[in-house]
Amino acid sequence: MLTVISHIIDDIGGGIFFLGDVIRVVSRHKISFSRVADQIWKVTTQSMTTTALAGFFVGAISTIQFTMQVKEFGALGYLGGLATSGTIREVGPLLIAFMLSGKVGAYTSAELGTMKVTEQIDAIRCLGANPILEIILPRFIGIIVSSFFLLAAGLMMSIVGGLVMGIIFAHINPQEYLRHIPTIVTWSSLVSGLFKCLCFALVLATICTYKGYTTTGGARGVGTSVVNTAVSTMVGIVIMDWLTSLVGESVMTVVMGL
Amino acid sequence: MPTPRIEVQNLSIQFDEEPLLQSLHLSVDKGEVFVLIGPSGHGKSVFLKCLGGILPPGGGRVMVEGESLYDLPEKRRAQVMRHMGMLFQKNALFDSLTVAENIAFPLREVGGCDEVEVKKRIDFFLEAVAIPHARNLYPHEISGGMQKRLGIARALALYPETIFYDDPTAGLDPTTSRKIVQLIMDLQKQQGSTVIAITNDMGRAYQMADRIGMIVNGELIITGNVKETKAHKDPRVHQFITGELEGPLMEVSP
Repeated sequence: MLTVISHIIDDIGGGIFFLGDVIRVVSRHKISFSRVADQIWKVTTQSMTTTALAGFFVGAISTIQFTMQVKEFGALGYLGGLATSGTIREVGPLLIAFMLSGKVGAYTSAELGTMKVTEQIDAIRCLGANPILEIILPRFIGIIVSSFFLLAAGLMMSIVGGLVMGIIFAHINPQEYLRHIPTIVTWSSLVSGLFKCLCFALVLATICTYKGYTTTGGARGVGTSVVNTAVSTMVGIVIMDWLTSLVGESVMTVVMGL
Repeated sequence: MPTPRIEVQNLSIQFDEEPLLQSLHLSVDKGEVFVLIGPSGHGKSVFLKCLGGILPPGGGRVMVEGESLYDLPEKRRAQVMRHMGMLFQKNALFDSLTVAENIAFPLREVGGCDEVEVKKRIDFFLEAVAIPHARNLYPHEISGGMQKRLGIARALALYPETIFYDDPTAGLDPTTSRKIVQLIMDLQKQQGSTVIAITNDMGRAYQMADRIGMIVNGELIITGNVKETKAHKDPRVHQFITGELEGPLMEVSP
């Protein structure tokens, strides 16, 4: 048990130091824009369809759940606003993060892990180049930036999904569904969603690049890294969600109190 | 007395607290071809990686032109390493890049060459290693011998002053092995570079070496020219170069 705990602490420490290395490289070196743009394009296009599809159904599910609640109070007019607010503040960012961790996180970890065990990373270092600058940073920034594009796409589709379900299931017209979205979805909801999205993407990018970069032991090592990435990112994202909710609510309470 | 190109002072490396290399001393002059031989698993590749700047030693120093490689600031060390090239045992080619892009990588990312120069050098090295037809193929689409040639071309792309070859003829047929070694020697003569190579093929070792060193159980037990190596009295050296089954190397655990 002690060994497992010390291994987890060791891993968290290693990840934090790795993030420190990445930040240090960002601050000291010029980053290749074309390579970052390539990664943003790759990650966004790879995950767009699944994210949009998932967004559509999350919106639809939220609407069904809220319909049952608001019907009791005769407040069907607020259905669109409530369903959209819940998606933007909480479900959307979490969904995008889970989608990315399953697809991009595992892919990045496997790709970097293979480069590590086949000595490609050593080859980069041996040429006098910095592997963090050359191969980690473009992927790291790519994941963070594209998560915002995917969030936007997912949220738009969730509104569409909610709207469709509002018409079919709750029998309200589109104008009625959309009317209260601007009044319930405030700037604070949007900032909260974007902030969470940034935090989750940071957790995901750090874990998957760190796990890939520190892979050892051939094909088996790559497999272990991919599994560890999937598990660690899921746990990390949920913990980060709790933390951001707690901090966010505390900040909001202080701000509103003032 | 001129400064040696590479000087190893009391170098030692441990893995999981087990000593792998112990108190190694070595000096290699500019333009010299030094070949490392020894049983598999006794630390030759680890030693080469340590000389190449990618594996810090547990103790001792690696001096490059009088500068202690691992004590240099990050920026200076990167500059020093730009004058070194390495061919890895399994080539370590960038599998997501084509043959031409593999050669271009060090030129663009480290050498800062403009595109005209990059193209010129790609053409030159593809001709030099005799794989111009493979320019647009990916590493997995070419044969083992061609991969080895590509690895050599990438290692030499920046015209390094020191080149490390980790078993350049491993897994190749005798004719291709001979051709690869001839290529290494031709390029070494053209550029006057210092070469440190690992091989277990004694024929190729004799073909290349100005001096030969043998590592057994993490210790450099001999260094000498081809004639001295052949005539060496140590039974481990004799067993290794003759390939006899019975002898003291049987008792040495890696």
